[in-house]
Amino acid sequence: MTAFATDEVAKRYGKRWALHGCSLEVPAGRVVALVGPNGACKTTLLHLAAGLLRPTMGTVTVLGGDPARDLALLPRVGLVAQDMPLYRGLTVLETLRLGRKLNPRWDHEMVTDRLLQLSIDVDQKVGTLSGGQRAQVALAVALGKRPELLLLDEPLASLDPLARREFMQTLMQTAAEGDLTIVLSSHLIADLERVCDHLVLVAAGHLQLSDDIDSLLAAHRVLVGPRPTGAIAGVAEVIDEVRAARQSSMIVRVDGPIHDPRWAIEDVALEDLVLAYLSQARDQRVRSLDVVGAAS
Amino acid sequence: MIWLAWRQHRVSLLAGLGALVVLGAFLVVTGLGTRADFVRLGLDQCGVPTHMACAETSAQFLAQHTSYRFLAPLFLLLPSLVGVFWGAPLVARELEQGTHRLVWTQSISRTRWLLAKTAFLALAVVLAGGFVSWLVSWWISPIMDADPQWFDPGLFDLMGIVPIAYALAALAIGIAAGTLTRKVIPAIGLTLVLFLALRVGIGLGARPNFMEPIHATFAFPTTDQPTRTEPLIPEGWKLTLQTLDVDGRFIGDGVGIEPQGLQADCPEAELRPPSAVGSERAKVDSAARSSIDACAEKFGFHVVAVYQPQDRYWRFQLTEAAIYVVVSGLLLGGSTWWIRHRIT
Repeated sequence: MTAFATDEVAKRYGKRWALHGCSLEVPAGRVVALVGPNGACKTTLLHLAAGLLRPTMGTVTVLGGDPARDLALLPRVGLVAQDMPLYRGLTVLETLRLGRKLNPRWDHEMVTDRLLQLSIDVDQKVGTLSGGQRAQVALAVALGKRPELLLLDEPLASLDPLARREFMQTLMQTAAEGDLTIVLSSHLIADLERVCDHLVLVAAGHLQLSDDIDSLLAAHRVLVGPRPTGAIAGVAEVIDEVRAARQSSMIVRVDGPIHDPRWAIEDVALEDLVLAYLSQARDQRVRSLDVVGAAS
Repeated sequence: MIWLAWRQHRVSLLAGLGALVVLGAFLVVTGLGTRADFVRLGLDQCGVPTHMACAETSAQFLAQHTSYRFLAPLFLLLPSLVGVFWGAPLVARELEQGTHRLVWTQSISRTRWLLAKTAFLALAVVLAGGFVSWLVSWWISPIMDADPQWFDPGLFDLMGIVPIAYALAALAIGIAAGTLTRKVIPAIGLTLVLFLALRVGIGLGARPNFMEPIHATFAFPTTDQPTRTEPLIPEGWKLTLQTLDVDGRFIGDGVGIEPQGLQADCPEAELRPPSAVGSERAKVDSAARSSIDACAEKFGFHVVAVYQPQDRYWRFQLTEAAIYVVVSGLLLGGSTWWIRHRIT
């Protein structure tokens, strides 16, 4: 079952193409990390999924429907947009009331309980809350509508480490409670590793990688040793290579056991893996720009 | 959704209500003063229109109460405030502060969101507009009794149903401008420009031609008749009113004679008799008068009027209001489409 899929989706803002030919699939029931550098159009992808945007080309499918046209999808998808947009003049309680008035499946008890547990004063104006409290209120509003797909756009960016941990705890709790699909965009990979089980990596409007985190970690290794002169048995592809004077450190995708004694083999950390793919994507783009430059 | 509309707009609604109360108090106090004067001069005994029977008292009353001429333009600006304070921020502020990402991802469609908010404010606008129109009509009615000019530009725009339609159009223009510009301040500027352009365009360009005006000729009164135009020419909106001679030469504006107009036909007649005092003056006056009367008769002075008669008043009100309501509808439809298909 797919919760969210794009097929050859392109999005243009005026003359600038934000996404071109992006196809991806997010399996249902997972906690998905949507990772990419700034400007990788993570926000565009999430807004497409929430029905805030329409693709210029291609199709977006969310829970079996078209989010920009199918109004029945609105109650089933929750969005915590970037910077947690809330009405600053409303109190927390009024914000929850907004959620109750505008959502037929609203679970008021759950939401108020959650905020009371976090000892947030519900009579306080949203504008006077701390960043962490605001994030919790925004999350509560998104959860209150009981979505099947919850989208979070850089929810951790503006939070201090403590608030970040509390926010992630709430999120993990929610993920554990039901069969909710969560898509979380961020560039803070270390924070995502604890909560996410699936990784979607986009760079420059293209999908780079989409797989379960466990299988990704299983399929990649760090090789430390001399600079390679030819193919190494068991290595399918060198993703990234850091060269030092005597030796190099490579992140490689493996397709079999590596028995070559010249290299020390280590497990790869998710953050290093993501960075390796991002620098690979950047190199490819630089190369393709060179080709364009040479041709013109 | 009604709750949200109320919650989001209650401050501006209450501010509007406060402004209405202040305005209402002012109109009631000054209106009562005008009425008291009207009664004190005995004009309430004259019948309507009062100038028929009580020309002099009526003129005296009007000379004392000219302030409405300065206040009328202020009321012309009132509807644009609706566009500026209620219309322009409706969509633009949400887009500017990013809260559209919150409210458009709840379970109701953007179309319903926009229509609910607009309907809520439109209801407030209709109530407020109706109240102001009614109060201004009451306030100005003694003056209209003394000098019926309901149809005149500037006063036509203040009473009846058109003020409500103007306010609705201002609201719709504000919403559309905010939808297009996505920023509150440019939306306010655009709202003012568009609203004034529409008002001027329709008020000056279209309104005189809602119906073919009546062209009519009237006899020039002799100097012993009161020279006020109204007894002579039917009430209504005079588009042109001129005195001409038999050859169609211009004699004067309105029902009147200007020196250069008179000069051509009767150089011997003097418009303004030489200054004299006492009984001497009356003699000179009457001599001058009779020479003018003789001249007017000899050269066939007559008054040409192009006008919209008073009985077309409500037809014009309905036509003009309908235009603004249709414009509002189109703008709201356009905004809805734009929000649904083009924004974000």
